[in-house]
Amino acid sequence: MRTNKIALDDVTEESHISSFIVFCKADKHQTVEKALLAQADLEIHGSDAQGKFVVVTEAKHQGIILDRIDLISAIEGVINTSMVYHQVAALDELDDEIDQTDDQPIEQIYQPQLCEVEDGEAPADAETATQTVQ
Amino acid sequence: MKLTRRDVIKAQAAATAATVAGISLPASASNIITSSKANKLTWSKAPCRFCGTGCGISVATKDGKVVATHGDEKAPVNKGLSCVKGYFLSKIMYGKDRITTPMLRKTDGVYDKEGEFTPVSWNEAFDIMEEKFKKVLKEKGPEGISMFGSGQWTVHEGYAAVKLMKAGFLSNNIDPNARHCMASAVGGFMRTFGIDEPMGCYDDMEAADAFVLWGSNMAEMHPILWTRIADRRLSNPHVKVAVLSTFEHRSFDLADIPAVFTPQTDMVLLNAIANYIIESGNVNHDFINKHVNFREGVTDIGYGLRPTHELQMKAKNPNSGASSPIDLDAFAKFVKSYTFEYAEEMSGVPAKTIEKIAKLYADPKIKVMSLWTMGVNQHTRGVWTNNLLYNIHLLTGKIAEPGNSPFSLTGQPSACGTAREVGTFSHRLPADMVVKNPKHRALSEKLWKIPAGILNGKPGSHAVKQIRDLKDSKINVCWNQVNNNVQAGANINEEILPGYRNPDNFIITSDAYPTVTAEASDLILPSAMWVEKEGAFGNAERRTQVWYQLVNAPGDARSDLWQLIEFSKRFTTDEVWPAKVLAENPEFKSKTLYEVLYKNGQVDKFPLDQISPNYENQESKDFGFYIQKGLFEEYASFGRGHGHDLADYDRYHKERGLRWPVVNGVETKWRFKEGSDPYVKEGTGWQFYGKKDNKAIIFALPYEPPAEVPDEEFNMWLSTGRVLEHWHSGSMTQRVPELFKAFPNAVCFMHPEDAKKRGMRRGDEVKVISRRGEIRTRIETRGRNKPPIGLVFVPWFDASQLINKVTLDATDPLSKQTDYKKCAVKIEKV
Repeated sequence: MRTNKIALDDVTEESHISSFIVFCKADKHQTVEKALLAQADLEIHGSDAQGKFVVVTEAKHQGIILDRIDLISAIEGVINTSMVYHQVAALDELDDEIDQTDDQPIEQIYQPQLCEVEDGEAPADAETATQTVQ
Repeated sequence: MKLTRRDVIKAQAAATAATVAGISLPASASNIITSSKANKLTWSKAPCRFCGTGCGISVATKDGKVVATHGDEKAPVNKGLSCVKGYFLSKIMYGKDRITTPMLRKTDGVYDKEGEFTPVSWNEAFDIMEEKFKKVLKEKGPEGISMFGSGQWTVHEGYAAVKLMKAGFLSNNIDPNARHCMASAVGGFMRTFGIDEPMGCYDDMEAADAFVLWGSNMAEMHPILWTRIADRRLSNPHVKVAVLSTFEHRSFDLADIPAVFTPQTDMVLLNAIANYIIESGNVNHDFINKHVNFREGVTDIGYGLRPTHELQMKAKNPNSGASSPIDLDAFAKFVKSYTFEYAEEMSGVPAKTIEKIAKLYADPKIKVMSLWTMGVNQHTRGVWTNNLLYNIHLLTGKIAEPGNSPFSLTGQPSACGTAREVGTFSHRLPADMVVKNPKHRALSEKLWKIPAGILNGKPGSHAVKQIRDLKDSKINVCWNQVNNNVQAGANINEEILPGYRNPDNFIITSDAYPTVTAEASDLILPSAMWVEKEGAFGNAERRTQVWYQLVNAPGDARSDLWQLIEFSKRFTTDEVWPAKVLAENPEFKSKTLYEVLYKNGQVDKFPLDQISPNYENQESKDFGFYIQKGLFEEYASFGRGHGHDLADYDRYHKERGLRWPVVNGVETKWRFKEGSDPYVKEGTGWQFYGKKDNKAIIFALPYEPPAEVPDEEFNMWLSTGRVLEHWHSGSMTQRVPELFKAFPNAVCFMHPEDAKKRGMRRGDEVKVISRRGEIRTRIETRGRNKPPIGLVFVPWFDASQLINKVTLDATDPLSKQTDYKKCAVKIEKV
């Protein structure tokens, strides 16, 4: 039960863009898709035959996003909604047009710089084992 | 096609979710995201800062602020998912009431305990702290000061704190609030295995055939791990889930075998299962002959109350953990009276249900994972109950292999990595060592490069005792970091507040927000949080994770690490070490604690050029060396070669965590088992090498009643706990408006019949009254938590209600952990 109203000073000059994955039973795919599309402010960006949808939403306050997730979870046939991505942006910048000449693949930007560990490294030599301090 | 910044961010949000879901997006979408320069964010990794699960989060910064987060799809713990707490991590640092400058209580420009909080400089803050510390150290010695931290300290901070207190001030009065959540788990591990922390790991969740939750509400408290269990259950029809609790909660939705039991009778159920394993002929004799000893513990050990308390005086063996050797036959005889019928009578769980659960353990073909948290640990027999859980896994040999796993879950993000592994408890030293043991002290003195024989061998005041000592003026200076003890501690009215407001005392609290603890203090220090500093956490499966400083802290806020180390510059060895020690070790004379503890040739070994050029590092730049690496490497020297091996520090920056022991660069998933743990010798099968003879212990321990049970006047059980949206005491999550909105005030969950009996209705304002205090709240008879008749449940995050005014400060006599889970109350209409 949500009783508190969003305090007015919490609604700022910001906008929140979020994505989540909606899981439904495969045989409910069509009805769930219809229900999602019927809900205002939701965009389906992709789906698969197993009953997964990628949904994106935007709101002036994150609380509204949680409410939308609640509404989605209440759709018949939906098993689970998993949260994935959340970004806060200045509202007045969002309508700026983008210069598309600076193309750069997104992967290069948003992957943390990590080295991959090789699989199948040899297990440690049992001879290195010693007793614990205890 | 014209594109806006909005289109690009949405495309990025969609692309990230699609990767996690394994869905490919239409080509038009990938065209958009190639234009991602428009949403140019710098992405880095960090573990979530909220709970002990240790999810990997990708964190984006822009113009010096965290602006976006998402579950890291390459993180093995959460595989790209995020829960409500982790979803809005971008907001936790930007609450309106963030503290950005030190604040001292003053009247007319001078310190006054009754004065108003007034902004002061760091210099003035440290001046008054120095004065108070020096006065108390002079008058009372190291016993007069204390520090209270938590499992939210980074590894570096906990290590720097323990070193400052134990090696600098020679005081063992340092304890984490992990005492309130994990001490009984630690006690259980040490008693049964001789070495702390789970032998298995989260990979067990994809290998087990059955899951048994002992009091834990994973659906709400550990939602990401619950998703893994739900996946396993839903995609494998043979898998069974049993959920045991003192009230019905959301985890019951997935339960094949639900069971609501009377508080404290988990001990009866566990002994009944042990009895069934024996009587049904399912003891794994080969396993117990080779790898297990049996012992019988002493009983009637009291309730960890003040020695003058009536219940404590009645106990025959107060606080005793003694035990004597027995054999399987004697153990069988001991548990024989714990029949299913007796267990039903005691617990209220039908015998048929108990049998179903017992069969999951007894059947050699079923791989079973047991999971528990506070229900077992916050228990006046918490250590015993941990022991009893290991008993049923050891009797059947179902341990330390994929899917067979007694697994103690953790509450705080680094309860394992910092509180337990670093040893920030009043009785411990790093790597499971203890201050009482002269060999452990000698080794620590050597590794710390301080004079031999200088460490204090007497365990200090633990969390609850610190509070009592403050009230009794035995401790006069207390420094709190990363905890909210006034809200979280038990028996606030009689014990905590009197100690804080005692005119003899000076209380310092470091925090990012004005918690009730900060407001009850005399000096507040503004702390940097999460990615405002470089840090390391260790999660519940022994995974150590490191992150970089991604943004600067606001205003004058500084990390607890900086605060501790900067403060050490204000003391010399001449002021705090015994003259005799200095006479014998003249090279230590007139040095600052900063010089002997941190600029000691080890901690300052790594120059600034070893810091990544892509990230800030406030503390290192201030002190002039790569302090996080120096502290980590010195700390790691305690455990390497002793079953606690950590990898080289730099490696962790490149990994999404590694599970210790990390030997020859390889992490360990299952300890104690040949083939998966490099410490186990070939041909042995299992070695519980925490014990000298490599054998774990099965303990014969009876059911003993709780400290307080409902009677005619106080006729209800009170249980306390958390709700998902407010992890811990709410000091962080209540800063995020929509989390606050989701569950604004605590309510008193009650069975509709209990309400009817008292002429109460849902929404009525009531008083919850115990022998110690009362709070006002409202009745909730519906919703997520459904208590049985005779029990009420009140969540404990709400600063305006402080349910812990009502709870009893009874503790486990062995672990000293408080039992918040049960006391007797009455409910009256206002």
